[in-house]
Amino acid sequence: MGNIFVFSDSYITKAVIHCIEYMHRDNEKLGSVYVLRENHRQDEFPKHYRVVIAQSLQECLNACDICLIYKSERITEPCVERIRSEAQQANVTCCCIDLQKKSVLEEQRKKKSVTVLIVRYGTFTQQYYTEFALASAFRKNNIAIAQEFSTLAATIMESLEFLKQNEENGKRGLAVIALETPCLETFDNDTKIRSIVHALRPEYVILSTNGNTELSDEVFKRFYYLYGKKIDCVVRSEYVPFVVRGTEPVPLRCILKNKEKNAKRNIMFVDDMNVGDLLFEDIHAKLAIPKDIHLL
Amino acid sequence: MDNKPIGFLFVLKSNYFYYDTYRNRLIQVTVEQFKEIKRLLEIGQADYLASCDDTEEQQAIVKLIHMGFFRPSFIACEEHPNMRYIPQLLNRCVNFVQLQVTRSCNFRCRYCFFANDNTMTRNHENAYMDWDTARRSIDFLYEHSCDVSEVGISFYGGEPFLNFAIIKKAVEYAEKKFLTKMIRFSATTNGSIMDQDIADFLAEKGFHLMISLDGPADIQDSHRRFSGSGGGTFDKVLENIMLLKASHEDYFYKNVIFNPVMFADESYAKVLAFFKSIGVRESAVRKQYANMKGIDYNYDLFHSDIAGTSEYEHFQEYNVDQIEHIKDAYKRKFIRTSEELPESGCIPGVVRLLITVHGEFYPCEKINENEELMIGNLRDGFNEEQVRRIANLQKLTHEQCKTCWAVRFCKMCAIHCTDPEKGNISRQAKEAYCRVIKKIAVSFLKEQAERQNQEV
Repeated sequence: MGNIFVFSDSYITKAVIHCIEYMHRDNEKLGSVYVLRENHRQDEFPKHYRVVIAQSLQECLNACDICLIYKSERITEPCVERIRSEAQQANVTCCCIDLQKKSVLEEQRKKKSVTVLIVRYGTFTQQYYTEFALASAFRKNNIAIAQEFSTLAATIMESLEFLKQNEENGKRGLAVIALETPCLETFDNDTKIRSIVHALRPEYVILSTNGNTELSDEVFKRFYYLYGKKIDCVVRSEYVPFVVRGTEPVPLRCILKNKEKNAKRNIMFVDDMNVGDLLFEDIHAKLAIPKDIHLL
Repeated sequence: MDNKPIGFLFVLKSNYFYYDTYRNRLIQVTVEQFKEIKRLLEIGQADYLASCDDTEEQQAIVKLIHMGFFRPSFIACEEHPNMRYIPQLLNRCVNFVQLQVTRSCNFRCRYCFFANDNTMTRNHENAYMDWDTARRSIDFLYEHSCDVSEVGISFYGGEPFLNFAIIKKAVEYAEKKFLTKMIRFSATTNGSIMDQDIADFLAEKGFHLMISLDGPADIQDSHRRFSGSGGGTFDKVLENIMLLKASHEDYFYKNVIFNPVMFADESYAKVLAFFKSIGVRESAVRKQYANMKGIDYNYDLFHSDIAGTSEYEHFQEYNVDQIEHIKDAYKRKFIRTSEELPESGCIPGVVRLLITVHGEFYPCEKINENEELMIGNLRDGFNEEQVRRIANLQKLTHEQCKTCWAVRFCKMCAIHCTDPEKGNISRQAKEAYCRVIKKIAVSFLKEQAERQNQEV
């Protein structure tokens, strides 16, 4: 199977790498993931990730057997065509995946099991990271879960299916559901989100947000009074939406030295790379049934 | 902290108005209320409420206090709100570089910032950027633009097309280097250097071109002359513009703009009519007024009596950016947090980075190129301390900013805070520009007041 070259903008490439790590960590046939130095630095990734920061496109195409191109709104068609053409010339298998699908807010829900809900608040939240981290943590602890991923995570996973070895998915037990429609920012979807949250009655709610969205008391109160459930934990991404030019923000990767500490709020940070374990610990503490008690 | 409210009272045509800074609202009041507000501004809210006799006017003022008017200073932040992101921005968000490919120019323009008569800044010289510096500049942009999806490379001078060979090489190098990002190439030229090859190249690469042409022959030739012969430049420039237009009409209409520089006693209508006569759309003409600072101190920009306009109309002509900013700030009725005000300019080096022929970094092409304003170089990279110093302009006058009624309208840039004689950033220069902003803001509020009255 060998090495994979991933081409996209910096934010999406990172999502793909985290997904590969989640899906194929134990896949010995998989080599390294090559990305371009144009968008990444080695210190962005944990040491155990098999990532190579290549100096040039040629280096990537020489080393890799497969090229995965993820078309996002920040990658133009001419860039995609250029990579595709160079990959073809180098006899590298090239797959192009369109990520510009919009998520559809599925309103019809039924509560099936104990539910953890991950909600998105803001842009560049790396919600996928929390989804993968939680799934990995449960897998590590041999707990089967049913999981619904956000559109971005699901699309990337689907594109990587052909790399996947067979794996059983838990169908019963804990359910982890990602609600990625923007909440709290506008009032547009409030009624729908409220009905979803009421239907699911999640036992644990994670707010996935970016590095600088303000987490005032008002945010937590609004969630509680609008949707009827309190937020248990916040996960902050490594990114800060920053407007450099015009009105469209760019995802600025920003790890601040002095991380906020809040006695009232349970806040975790993606760049600490231990979100999965911390979340598992907290969820387990709040939701696990004691040993000698059986659910009927 | 001072508990006196921050606001501005004025009278216009026997009507009385008050602008409240915290609420960002302009209200019309009676003469008695005007007097009460004046007293309130002088003694502060606490003393005013303690001394109220409950008259009708005072009741109205108290009601306004309960509605959030007349708040004292709410500015707490002493530094630019984005200071905490500076290391990351400089490392990952540089998105526009201006390469000063030459300091030489074949024109000598009456109002040129780099004219030999200008004592405030560097002058034209026979210096050209070599390939090594150009290549390293593009490499620098590549290394520091991880998080942006689009980068801009602009070519500047002197007259940049005097070093066209380097421009061509730089463009081709950048196109090979950047794979995931869109590159936007641009240049400002006097239009005197053009042939079919250059025209084809500019069109093929989609250059955004700004041509400095001041208008018909009599205006162009009086402003802009060849450096050698001293002769007029109009004929040559027009010939080249026509060549470009004829061979790449679609590109010409989409990508080429003109910036005529005018003096207050010249007719813009005449200039515009000329551009239309050569097939240039009005939207492609961006006029600006000559700034004779350092060249001719006798020239006074504020010739509103010559132009025959009102003061506000005058500011709309001469201070377009500031007026647009004030209009935008006035429209925002939500309360901006104290961490966002006052609004400083850009983070130097991030939105724009000028790299000189010698590889030195400056915030932009408008700034004096002296050591005091240098923010790094190709060899050592950014000087973060210097970037912070220039970004943090409000520190110069923080105590005044906290109680300034025009704080919502303030948009400061390092250029405005530069001492015109010494070329360094100074408190006095900033204070002088503060007075200009306030003058413009007063003019804007009076315009709003007049409009309000007419609607009523």
